[in-house]
Amino acid sequence: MFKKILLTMSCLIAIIFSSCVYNGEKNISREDFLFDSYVSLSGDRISAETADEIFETLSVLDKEFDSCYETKANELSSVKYIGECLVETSKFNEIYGDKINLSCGGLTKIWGISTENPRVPTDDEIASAILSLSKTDYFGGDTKKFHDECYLDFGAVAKGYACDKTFEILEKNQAEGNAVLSFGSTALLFGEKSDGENYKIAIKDPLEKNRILGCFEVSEGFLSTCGGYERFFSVDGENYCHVLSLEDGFPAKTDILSVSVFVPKGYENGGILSDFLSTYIFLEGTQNLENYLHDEDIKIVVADKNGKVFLSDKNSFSLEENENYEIVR
Amino acid sequence: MKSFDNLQRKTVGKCEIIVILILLFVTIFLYIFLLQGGSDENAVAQIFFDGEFYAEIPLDENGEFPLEKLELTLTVLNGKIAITENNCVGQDCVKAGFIGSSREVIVCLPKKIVVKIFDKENVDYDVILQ
Repeated sequence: MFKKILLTMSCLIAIIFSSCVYNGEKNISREDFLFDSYVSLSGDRISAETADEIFETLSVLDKEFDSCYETKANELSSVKYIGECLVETSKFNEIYGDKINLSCGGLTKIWGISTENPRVPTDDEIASAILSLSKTDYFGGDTKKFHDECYLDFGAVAKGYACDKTFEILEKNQAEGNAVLSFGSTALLFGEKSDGENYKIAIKDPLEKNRILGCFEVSEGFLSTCGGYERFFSVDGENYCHVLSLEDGFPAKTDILSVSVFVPKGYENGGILSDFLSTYIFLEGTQNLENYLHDEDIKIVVADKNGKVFLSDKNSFSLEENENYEIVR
Repeated sequence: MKSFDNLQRKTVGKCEIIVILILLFVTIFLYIFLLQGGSDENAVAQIFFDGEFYAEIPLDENGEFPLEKLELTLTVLNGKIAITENNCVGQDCVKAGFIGSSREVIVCLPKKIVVKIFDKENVDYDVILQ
């Protein structure tokens, strides 16, 4: 009898210990400063080796994209990811249009919006930067073929592409758990949550940063949000946001405050797509919004400057109690 | 001889009870403090500098918290926290305003400072898009 009780108790302790040790090893939480953002990875049953590989890849990606700000497109030496990202983005350009152009680095450079010294450039500077733009087939990713004065800028899709590469690593390593990679404005949701529930996503109120606009639930996939309220600078009382319109070379004059896009798992380059679409819709404004709201799978939430919140079909988004907004169906 | 056997069995019985009680106590202790994660905690803000934990500030009492080494001031108001003074370029972290929910962060990129909310009782969202 004593031996039986002793054995049972020992087993119980062993189970509890192993549960604790198991959780400690498999719950992953990493963070870094990459892509001009704070990036965090949290996961359940994701190995440390996989997390290492993810951050090594993100670091390489960040260095490659960062080199584009200083090096002209046709002088870029390392193009492993740059070439691939150009080609994959060109596929979405073909579908949606040319309002996003990754050869707009010259324009970004003269505005210097994400630098310490942003400024309003002269008309001549803007005109010559626009002249250096390439077509959005991006020469099949061959950087040697760009205009002599062309710089690349991956700001519109870099984080989405990083989410795609992270997704690839998690799948390649046959990760069985779930992981969330977040850049703040862009995120990857990988795997099913351990409690079987959907992911709960909140969107910040673009007008009042202390508040939440609303929330919705989604499955595995890619998220991205775009707005003019996060990165901007002011001159003589006028705000200049970081999203540039290639039509006139000035920051976008849009009636949209923020756009959030969810692309579920299963889409090729879903990360690039969510990032691309959120910026694209922001640039277009509400004028063409109808074209995007009726997709079977892609979920969209748009808040405009008149306090209207537009939702795509089959979107469970619910607005937080807020007198500034109303949902338009 | 028979009575000696009985005496020996009775002594071992006391040891058995003591061992079982100890094991029971250890099991309960492990269950409560390790598997369940310890006692309840109020929400706190954790400050990280260059990836390292730097400080923790409880959110249940209003006040200003100057962090001299980091050259910034944090303000706690009604369970929320904000960076209210910082000598960084851009001031994005100051513009970020107050945060109070788990998963919300304030980031000062130039100085590599992150303020996170830790409130395991109220994890409302998996991602907060901003």
